[in-house]
Amino acid sequence: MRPVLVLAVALGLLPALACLFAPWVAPQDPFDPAALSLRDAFLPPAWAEGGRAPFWLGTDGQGRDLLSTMLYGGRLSILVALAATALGLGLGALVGVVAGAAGGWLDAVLMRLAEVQLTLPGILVAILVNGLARALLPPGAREALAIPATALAIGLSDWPQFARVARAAAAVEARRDFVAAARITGLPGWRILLRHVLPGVARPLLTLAAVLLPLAAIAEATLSFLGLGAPPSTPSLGTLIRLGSEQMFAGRWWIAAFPSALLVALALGANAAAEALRARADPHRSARP
Amino acid sequence: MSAGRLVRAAAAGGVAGLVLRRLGQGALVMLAAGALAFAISELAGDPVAAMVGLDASPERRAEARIALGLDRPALLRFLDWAGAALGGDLGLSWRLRIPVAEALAQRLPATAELVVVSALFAIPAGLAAGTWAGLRPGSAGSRGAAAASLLGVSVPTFVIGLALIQVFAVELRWLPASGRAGTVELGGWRSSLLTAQGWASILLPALTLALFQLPAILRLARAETAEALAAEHIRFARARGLPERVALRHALRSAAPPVIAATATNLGALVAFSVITETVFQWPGTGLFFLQSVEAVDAPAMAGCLVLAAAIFVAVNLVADLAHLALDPRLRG
Repeated sequence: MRPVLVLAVALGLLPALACLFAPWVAPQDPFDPAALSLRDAFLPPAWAEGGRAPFWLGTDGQGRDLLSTMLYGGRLSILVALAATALGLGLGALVGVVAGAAGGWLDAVLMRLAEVQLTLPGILVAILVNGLARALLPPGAREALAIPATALAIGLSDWPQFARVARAAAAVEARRDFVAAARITGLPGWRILLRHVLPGVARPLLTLAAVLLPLAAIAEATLSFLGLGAPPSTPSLGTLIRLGSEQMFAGRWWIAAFPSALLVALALGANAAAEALRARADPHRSARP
Repeated sequence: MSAGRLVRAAAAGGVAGLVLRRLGQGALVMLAAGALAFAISELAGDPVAAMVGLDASPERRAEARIALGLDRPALLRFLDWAGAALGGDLGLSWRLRIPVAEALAQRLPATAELVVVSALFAIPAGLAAGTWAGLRPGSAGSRGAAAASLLGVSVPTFVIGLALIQVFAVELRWLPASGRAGTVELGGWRSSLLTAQGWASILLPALTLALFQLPAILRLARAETAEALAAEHIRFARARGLPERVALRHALRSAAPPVIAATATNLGALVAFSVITETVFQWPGTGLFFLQSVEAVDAPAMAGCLVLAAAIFVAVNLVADLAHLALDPRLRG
C-alpha cells in the first residue's frame, strides 16, 4: 500500500473511533442542559485570547463544548452514512439479483429504472426524496423523523449503482456449474439465490459499499448543511457547520472550521481506505498508473 | 459513459440507431421525471382544503373536487399536467404566487453564468494538469496530482465555499460573500459579466464550483492519457523511433474524445451542485430557488425544478454523446 494511503487512513481512523465512542470519550455531554451555561457561550479555542480550559476547541452559542458536540455530531454522521449505505446495498442487491436471475421483461424494466435514476446526480435525488418525505409527514413528526428520512433519502439515491453491480455479478454466478448442479438436485430457487449466488455477489457489492460510504457521509453533511437533514437539537457535522457559518462574520471562525476539518478527515480516511480496497479487489486497475 | 460502451453501442446499431436509442432514453427520463413531478404535486398538499377551507362540509368538498377536476382518473390528470408542462405551464408557486415557469426563467441566467464561468476555470486547468500528470506516470508530480484529487473528492462543496468566504470575504475583505450585485439587464437576460462589481460577486461561487469539478476532470484526463500512451500504436511509433512529439500527438488524439465527452456530461452534474454553491453564497439562481421550494414544501415549484433539471440533463447527455461521436472516428461505422 502506498504511504499516502496509509497516512490518510490513519488520519480518518482515529477521529472515526473517537466519534463512535463519543459518549465515553467526549469531555462533556452536550445534550445535558444541566452541564451547559450561557456564560460559556462563544468561547474561542483554549489557546486563543479569551479561551479557557476545559473548552479546548471553544464553545458554540449555547455554551456547548465544541469538541464534545463535534464528536457526537460525527457519530451521528457516521451512523447515518452507514445506515444509508446499508439500505442502498440491501435494496440494490435485491433488485440486481432478482433482475439478473429473472431476466426478461422484469430485468429490462428494473435496469431501465436504475439507468434513468443514474442520469440524475445522487445529491439531487437525495434532496428531492428528503423534500418529498417532509411534504408527506405531518409537521409535528418532521423533526422527530428527520434523521431516518435523511438516511432513507441517501439510501434511495444509492441503490441503482448497487443494483447494476449485483446484476452483473449475479448473471456470472448464475451460469456457474455448481448453480446448475444445485438446480438439478431440486433445490428451490430462493435457496439457490441465497446460498449459491449471493456469496459470489457479496464481494463486488462490499467493495462498492466502501467506495460509496464516504459519498454518503458527504451527502448527509450536505443535506444537514442545507437545513434538510439532522435538526439543530441533534446536530450532525453538517448542522454544526451550518450553525457555525452564521457566526463567521462575527469573527467566530472556530464553530464552522473544526467540524469542517473533522468531516474532511473522516471523508479522506474513508476515501483512501476505499481506494486501497478497490486496488486490491482489481489488481488490473492498480497496475495502471 | 465509457468509451468502450459507446463503441459497442455504436457497433450494435450504427450511428443512427445510437442517436435514436439516446433520444428514446431521453424521452424515458423525461417521462419518469414528469411522473415523479406530477406525483409530488399530487401528494404534497391538499388543493381542496386550500380552496374551501379545512372545515368545509363534505358536499362543498365534493363540489370543489369536481371543480378542480380531481374526480377524474389520475392518468387523465397526468396527461393534462404533462400537456400543460410541454406548453411551458408548470403551475403557480404556492410560496411566491407567480407562475413557476416565470420564476425559473428569472433565475436561469444567474445559474447559467455561474456554471459557464466555473467551467471556464476548471476545464483548462483540469485538462492541463491531468494530461501533464498522465504523460509522466510514476513521477512525483503525477503521484501528487493523484493525492490532491483524493483530497479534492473528500472536501464537500460547501466546505470549499465556506473556506473561500473565510479567506477572501472575512479576513481579506476583497470579495463579497453573498448575493449577485452589479447585474445589467440585456434583452431580458440579467448578466453579471458586464461590470467589475458583477465579476467580484461571481468570482467566489464560480471558484467553488470549479474546485468541485476539478478533481474529476484531472483524474479522467490523467487516466485516459496514461492509457493512450500504453496503446500498441504508440509503442510501435516509439519503437520505430518517431519523434516523441509525433507519438504524443497520436496519443492525445485518442485520449481527448472521452475526456471532452465526460466533461460535457459533467456540466449536467454542475447544475445539481449549483444548488449547494448557490445556497452557500445566496446566489439567486435556480438552485437556490429549488432549495427554498423544498424548505417551504412548495410542491409545484419542486415539480417544475425537477422537470427543468431532467430536461437539462437529457440535453447535455445527448450533446455530449454527439460530440463524442463527432470526435471519435472509431464510433462511426
